[in-house]
Amino acid sequence: MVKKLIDKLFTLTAFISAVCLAVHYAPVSLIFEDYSLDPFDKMRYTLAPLFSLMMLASAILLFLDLFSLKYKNLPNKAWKIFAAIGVVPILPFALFGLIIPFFVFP
Amino acid sequence: MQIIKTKVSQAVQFLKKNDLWAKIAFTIIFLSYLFFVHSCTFNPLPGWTYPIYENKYPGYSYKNKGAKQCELDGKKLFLKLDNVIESFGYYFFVDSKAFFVWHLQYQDDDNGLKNILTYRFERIGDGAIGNFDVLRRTSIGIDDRKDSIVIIYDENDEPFDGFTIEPSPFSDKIVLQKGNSKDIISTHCVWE
Repeated sequence: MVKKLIDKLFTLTAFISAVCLAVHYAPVSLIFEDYSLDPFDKMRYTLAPLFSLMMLASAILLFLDLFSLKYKNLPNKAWKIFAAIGVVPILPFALFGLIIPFFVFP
Repeated sequence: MQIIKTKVSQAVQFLKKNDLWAKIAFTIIFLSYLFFVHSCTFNPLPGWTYPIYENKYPGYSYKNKGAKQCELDGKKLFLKLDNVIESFGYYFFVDSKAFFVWHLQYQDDDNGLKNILTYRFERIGDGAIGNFDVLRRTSIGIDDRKDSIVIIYDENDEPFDGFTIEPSPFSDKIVLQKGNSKDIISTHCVWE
């Protein structure tokens, strides 16, 4: 019972993380405004939605997992694939964020 | 190098099998990213209330220590900067556009400070390392003439969307003028 609750809790936290990252990757101008791109921005604006969609797919699967539902016959591990791709841009920052406390606190 | 590679591939294999730990790891990655972003770029700036002093000398007013505070109709004048605090949630999800909001205020009979004018500047720089915040403001000079209060502001520091005159006993008499620093320091009350 407790194990199930713990699993649900972390599914929830992972879901929230995935949603936050999905929103964070999606540049707001893409959704709300007409944008004119110069060539350097094109890369940024085509990649960001890709990562955003990855995170969104991961979030949806995690959400289903939260309620123990399955979508067709996708395995439970499918969310990890999307999450792994989507988390690539932030990995260096996350690693840096993990080691900052060790520089600040001693 | 080889050891790092083996350890990493071992970790990935472990996470592939173990769903719960994968979720925990994912959450931790997100939280440390959040922490990193927070520590680098979130930069709230506390506000401040500055008294405005009379300009006794044909020089710069901030050198007038012990000068008398400026008054309009016997009411003391202040210049207030609002707290420039962004909500972190808004900052994280949507591109933030914070402003330096300034108010020209007078001290009413009940000792409360009330607004006369409001104006604001966009915040440039996001506080990240190498991209420092610059406090944006304009110098102002205030002259109380018989039927109008002339407020001269620096022509180089135009506020973002102009001046908003708040309802106050002085609101009918206010006249705003652009000027250079010479015009400003020749007025009766100066704040720089």
